Amino acid sequence: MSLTMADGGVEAVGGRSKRQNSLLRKQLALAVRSVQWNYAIFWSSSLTQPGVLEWGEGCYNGDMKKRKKSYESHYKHGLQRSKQLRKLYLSMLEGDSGTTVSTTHNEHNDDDVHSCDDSTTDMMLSPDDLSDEEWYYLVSMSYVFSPSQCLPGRASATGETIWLCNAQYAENKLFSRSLLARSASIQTVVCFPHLGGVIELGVTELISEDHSLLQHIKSCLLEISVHQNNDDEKKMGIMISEANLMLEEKHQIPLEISDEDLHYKRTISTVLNYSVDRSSTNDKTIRRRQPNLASSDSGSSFLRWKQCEQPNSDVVQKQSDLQPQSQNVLRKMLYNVPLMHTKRMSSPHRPGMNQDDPSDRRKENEKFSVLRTMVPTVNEVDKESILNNTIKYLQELEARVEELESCMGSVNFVERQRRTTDNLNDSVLIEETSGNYDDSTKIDENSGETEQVTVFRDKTHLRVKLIETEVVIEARCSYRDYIVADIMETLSNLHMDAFSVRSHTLNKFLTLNLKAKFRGAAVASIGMIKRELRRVIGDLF
Amino acid sequence: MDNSAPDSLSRSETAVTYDSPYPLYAMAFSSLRAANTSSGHRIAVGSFLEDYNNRIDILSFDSDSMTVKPLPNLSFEHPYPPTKLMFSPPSLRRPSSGDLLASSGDFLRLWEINEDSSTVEPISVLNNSKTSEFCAPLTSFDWNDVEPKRLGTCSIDTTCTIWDIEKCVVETQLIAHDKEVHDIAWGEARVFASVSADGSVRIFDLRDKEHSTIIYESPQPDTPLLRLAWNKQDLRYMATILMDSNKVVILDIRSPTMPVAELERHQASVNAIAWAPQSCKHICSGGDDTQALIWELPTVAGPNGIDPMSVYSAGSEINQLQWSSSQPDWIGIAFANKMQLLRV
Repeated sequence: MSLTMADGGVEAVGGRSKRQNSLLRKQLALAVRSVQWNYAIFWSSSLTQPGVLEWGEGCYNGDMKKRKKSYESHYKHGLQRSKQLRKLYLSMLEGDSGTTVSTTHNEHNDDDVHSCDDSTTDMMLSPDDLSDEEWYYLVSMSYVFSPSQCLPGRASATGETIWLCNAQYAENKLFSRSLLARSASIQTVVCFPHLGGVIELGVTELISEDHSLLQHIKSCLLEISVHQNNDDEKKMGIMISEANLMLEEKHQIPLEISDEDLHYKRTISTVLNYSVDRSSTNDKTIRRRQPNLASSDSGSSFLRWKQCEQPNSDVVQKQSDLQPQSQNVLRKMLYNVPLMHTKRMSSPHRPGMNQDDPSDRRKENEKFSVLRTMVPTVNEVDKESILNNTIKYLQELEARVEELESCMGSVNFVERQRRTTDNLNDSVLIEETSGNYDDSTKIDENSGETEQVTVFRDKTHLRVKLIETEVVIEARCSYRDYIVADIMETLSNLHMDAFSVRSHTLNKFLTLNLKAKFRGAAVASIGMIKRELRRVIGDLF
Repeated sequence: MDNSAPDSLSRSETAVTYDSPYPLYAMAFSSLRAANTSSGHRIAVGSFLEDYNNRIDILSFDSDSMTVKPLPNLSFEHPYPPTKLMFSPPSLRRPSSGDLLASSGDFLRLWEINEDSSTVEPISVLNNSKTSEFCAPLTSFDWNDVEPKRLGTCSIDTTCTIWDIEKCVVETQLIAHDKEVHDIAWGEARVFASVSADGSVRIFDLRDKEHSTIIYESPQPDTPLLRLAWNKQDLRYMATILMDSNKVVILDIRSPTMPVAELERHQASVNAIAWAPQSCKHICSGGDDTQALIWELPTVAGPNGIDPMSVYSAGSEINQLQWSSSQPDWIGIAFANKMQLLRV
């Protein structure tokens, strides 16, 4: 182990103020804690020797002897330990020059330069207390790098990030602390330039190059620097700890926070990380603009605010009482205008929101709109014309069907019940048009019964509908023995299987509702089905 | 516009006015910088007539000569008043020189404005209802400027719909609130917030549609929140306004439920808010007291609350306020039949 000692342990390094130092320390603490690495060091450029990098600030976050790493510990613990280590280092330096009292504990250092003050204060550590990693951290404090020497030097010279895996096996030229790293089992070291110096982080695990991690670390350093203008340290402390908490959540540390908070914190960290990324790229453009907001520009339309214009809250209250229609246009936009769309089918729109009445109306309107979509020729939007168009469409369709059936050679017309306009009521329409096809197979009980009053012959009725892959058959005819069986046989001959049959017989009149599916690919046409069925039922058409 | 201030003349000199034949509400600034034509930047204004027939006019604004004039060829009809207008964000790379305008009302509609050929063509009418042609009316929408093919709309049926407008399909539809949703704002590519008549501001993350977080609720329960603005320069902050309130509430997304600040210097209810596009600390608000106030948010608030930085008095209640992101020196306000551009 070769050490090069720097002269004089200077605390405030690199020409930065103490406050900046403490800020940097906190940033390092935050960064290293959030990614759970072992240490973070800021190498700053030396004041005395230009271009040379020496110890600036650091934060230790690794294992401590006799103490396990605990996540619940406040970030200050890491800082405290780092301070202790720093103190120890400095005292060891002083011990070298012989100004302090030497003690009994001085075995651990190879160069036997060491005495440490075994004072009774809690703050002082002795070399005994240090774990291997802490030793690594401590000894790093003594390192100095000339330009392009080793990792920090190279990172600073090239301005690029260096990610070193298997640091403990690295060449001495590349990474001079490789032996130290081996004893401390530091496997990964990352260096990147920052603020004129170099930030180094290390961990005892082998982690492959991860750009997002790097971004994350950099964002920790940036995020809090945004608050640098705050004079309120305390506020910064709060924000740091909050940011710390959020960033920890991102890495899914199992703290005692409820699920909801966890999700939300993840969301916030995404948003803020994005924000930081964006702001760092947009900084230049933004800064250029910022000063322009002073309204004392000669060209500005705005006047400076004067204190005397400040109103009493009483005045405001009175005003809002007097004007019940405040935010008139905005309210109309939000409440009246949407209703204009829904009420376009009905009578004049009413201002304001009514929840009770239009709910039924809306249902009706919805159903009308459904009807509108089914009937292609509708351009108008009022109820009457929708109904008219629907009637016309139905009539057209019926005529067309008749035509087609006659073309197919079927002599017998299907007698359809013509529903006149008078009989139209919403409930019937809805049955036809809704998706509930079961209803359509129901024969209106009323009409079934009324039919029976009249001559059977006129009211014999057969309807066959093909709905997707199902065939729906409605038949009304006079009953004879085995008629149902015959019908089923017919269907079977047509390669259909009935899966739902409803029938009842009243006064020798059979009402049959049947649903069938085609067995295979062979599909019989509706005309053919009708023909066959009519044959079975008794061709009375 | 008469104020006791002696420099009222100079003020009106620096404001550019457009008189419209009908009342205006919706307004949008185009983000196309230094439009390739000589006619300056485009502004779209939508009329507010409580009728089926409404219009959207495209104006051309030249900040050097301080003139705004309508482009009559590009004026087109819109069914019902548009509740919001917005031009496509600059991140949407478009092959042609035309501009893309979205309007919300009965449906979400996209229009292409092609100044070379002097036409406005409707591109699509997007209906988010699966069952009928009947889309629940939209109260507002926001175009995601990080992911410009994503657009979120909010409507009175309590849902927010996220569209992929390149493919013209619905990406997802969330039931956002218990009552009508009044406004929506994107924070990041997949995060948006919405305000509703139930008085809450909620943040949604599209990666986790099961959860949403309420970050603010109006102090008097069920006081509707009318508008929302997310500070695009500093995504920690949002602003919202309540019904019948003269306060602008500033929220910090990191500390839910407690507003960071309440800006209470309007003398009547606030109607519109807009964050400064270039600065993270400035916000402008306009209200029924005919005033537009620009506020600078301090890091620490004084004991008497925060005072605005500057004020402008318009002729009547200000209904709409937009801060141009392509020209951050200009704020547009709409009141009565006029649209005015104010220099900051």
